[in-house]
Amino acid sequence: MTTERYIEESNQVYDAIVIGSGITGGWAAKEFCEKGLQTLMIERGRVVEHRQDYITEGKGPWEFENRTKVDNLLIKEQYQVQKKCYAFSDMTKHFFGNDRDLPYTTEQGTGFDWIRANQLGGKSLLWHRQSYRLSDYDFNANKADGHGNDWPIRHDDLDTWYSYVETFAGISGAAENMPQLPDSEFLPPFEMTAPELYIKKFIEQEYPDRKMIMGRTAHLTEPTALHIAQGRVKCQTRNECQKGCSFGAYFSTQSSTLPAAAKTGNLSIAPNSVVHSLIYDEKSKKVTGVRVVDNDNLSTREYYAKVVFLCASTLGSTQIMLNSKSPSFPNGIANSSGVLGHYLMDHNYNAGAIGTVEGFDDRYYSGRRPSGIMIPNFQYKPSLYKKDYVRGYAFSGGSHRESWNNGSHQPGIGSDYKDSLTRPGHWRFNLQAQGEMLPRYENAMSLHASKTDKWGIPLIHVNCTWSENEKLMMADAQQTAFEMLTKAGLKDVTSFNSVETRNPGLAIHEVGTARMGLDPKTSVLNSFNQCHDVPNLFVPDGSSFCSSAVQNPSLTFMALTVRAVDYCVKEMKAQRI
Amino acid sequence: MLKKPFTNNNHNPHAHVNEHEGYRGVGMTNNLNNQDNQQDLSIEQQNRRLFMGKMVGLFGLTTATAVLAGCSVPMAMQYKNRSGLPDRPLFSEQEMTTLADIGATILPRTDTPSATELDCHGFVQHQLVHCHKPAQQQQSIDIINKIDEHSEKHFAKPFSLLSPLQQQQLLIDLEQQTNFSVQDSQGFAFLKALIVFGYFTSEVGATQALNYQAVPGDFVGSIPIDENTKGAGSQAYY
Repeated sequence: MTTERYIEESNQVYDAIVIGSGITGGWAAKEFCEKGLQTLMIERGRVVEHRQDYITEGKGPWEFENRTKVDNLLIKEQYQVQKKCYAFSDMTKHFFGNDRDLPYTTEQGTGFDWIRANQLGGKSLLWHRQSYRLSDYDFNANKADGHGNDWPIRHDDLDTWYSYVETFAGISGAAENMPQLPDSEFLPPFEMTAPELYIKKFIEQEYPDRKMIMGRTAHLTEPTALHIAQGRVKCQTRNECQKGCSFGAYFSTQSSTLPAAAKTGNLSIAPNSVVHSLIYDEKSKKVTGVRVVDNDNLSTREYYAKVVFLCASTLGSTQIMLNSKSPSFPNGIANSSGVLGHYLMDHNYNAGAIGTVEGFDDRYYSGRRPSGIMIPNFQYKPSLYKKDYVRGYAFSGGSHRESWNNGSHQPGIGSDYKDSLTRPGHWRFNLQAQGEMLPRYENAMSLHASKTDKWGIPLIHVNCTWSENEKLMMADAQQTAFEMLTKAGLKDVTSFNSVETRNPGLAIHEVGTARMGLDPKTSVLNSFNQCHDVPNLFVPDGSSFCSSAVQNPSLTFMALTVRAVDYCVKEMKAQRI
Repeated sequence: MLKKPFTNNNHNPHAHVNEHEGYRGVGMTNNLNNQDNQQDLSIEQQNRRLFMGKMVGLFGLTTATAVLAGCSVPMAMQYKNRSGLPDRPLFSEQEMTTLADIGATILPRTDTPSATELDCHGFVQHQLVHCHKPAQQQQSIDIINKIDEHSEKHFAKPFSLLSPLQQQQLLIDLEQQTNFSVQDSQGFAFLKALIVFGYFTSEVGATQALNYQAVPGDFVGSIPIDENTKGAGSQAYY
């Protein structure tokens, strides 16, 4: 079945090099390969084969020595940052980066939690799979209120590309016809629970500006022939996705784009290849290839291509660019504007509320839904902004019945107590804010002046904080969530706000640092994710974002990437690249 | 679905001492281990069969076999956790005995095994050593001794020799802070939660006391239930 070609040394000049194998890299490789270009995908980490390397899949909690918890000592020595990710456990830790080997620094008095997944497939194996389009209100937000630079594109520019990736990847959801959240090409949505249907009805009556919809997620609820041809089948609702899924039921590089790319016979993969920097030719003013340090033995090698796509993640791609210095670009390749590394953003997931729903104790659910509900941003344009801050937030959330986890903290001794633990408990429903983070010049990453990692690459140094705008937004979101649940009749409603204690980074939606823009003086990339300064270098991943919006960004990474490849190949054919 | 009666009628667990480990409590599970192994194997086979069945149904036999030939599932299903063998014993023999009886009092044998029969005390020791802080380890040692001290003071014998009713009442008093301090009840609450965690993440706890669904197949948002419906034994995150 496998037709990927793994290579180590090669003097071949490829048509295209794709650095990275996550969501963006997988799509770039697939598109190049299907257009007939000889493509080299470079991955810094190990190979993860679909199915056979999902080493924890199918295991019950009792099959883990610590019952899914990670050993103290291991965390202390190797996973001090990764442990903060909700999906980090003994079942998934092998797909997370190792903090000991992958150090970075943060400015004194600030913190940034950088979650890594350095292996073939990258974070596509671990992602939360929520998939939403950005709307024209999102693309217009910077222009409308003056924060950040204007996106050089609008929804129309991405519309057909969104449709293209949605059809192939498989996005479940329902059409809602909301101006702030364009519909996708949908597979059937997952069902709501009984309390969710009640709360939806209540909220939509009580708050005419709000709608509660089923989360849109990259799961095959009803696979099409296109998905079955990829070797993927229907989602079995295990919701253990981060262990890897042999059913291929959620979109990942391994389940979807990689087999498609491999099938063409045009794909080569260089694993264990840590990209040090890009090779720039002063005469042709183009990149000619990449310098690589071997992940294991630290030997160096080079790979060559006509075009290079940087898909190494937001911080990863920008690190490579900053470290690619030449007489023309002493401060990093394609950085004539000086904005490379700046305008770093994440999402602000730091407020919410939870309460008990009464009246549905004779109802339960069956299966583990790998998705939740969503209340799309209802402050999506300046006329809808609150008085004391700009932009808005969405709420994600959902309901569940409490179980023994909760019961283990309740009083009780003996057989009645034991029996109560085996029964479904109270219905609980929660809302969590997904707040927009403003693009600010001060929030930046740079290369450390002296420290390097074991591959000899300067460490990333991050200086990123929540601004007053984000703090005010979370205070409001906390209050709003509390009010909505209380009005809906929930009991024991509690709310939280962790913006003062949780670092940026943990939404794992880091974007910005190599932003797009119409003006080469204030942006790194043009409207096709092509470097203003270097025509054969493209950066279609999250670093290209001009604003964070509130939507989970991966679907937009996909659409930007396939559009950029299409443009790039046309430019190559026209011999402008 | 995977239900199989737990059979251990031939053994009185308290009659056995594990020579290798040198203390009761953990050792008593040795006999249970044999029982466990047979039972685990059976459930494992069923799980694997279920997983295989799903794969075959969805991919066809040839593909499913090819997929699983190089797949982790056979290996995964073979792995056995024997949590009762700590590499760094935390509890003394006496403390382990008391802890075992605390477990059997909180979660006694009903139509499913007790916490002690599932080696939750062995699990607690393992988990404290590997996944908890020294302060939590000490707190657990302290509360076990506090329970014995209390028992000696009020009944002139250790907790393990009290009647089941006396044991239950003592732990209820502890939870309600009757003749116990707030700190005592907090220490106990932590230990109790760990025992419960150990119970329901064990194979028997998840598949017999609860309704474990390795591969649910579909999500249905609303189904009717009655008072006999078991909770889901499988969770996305523990």
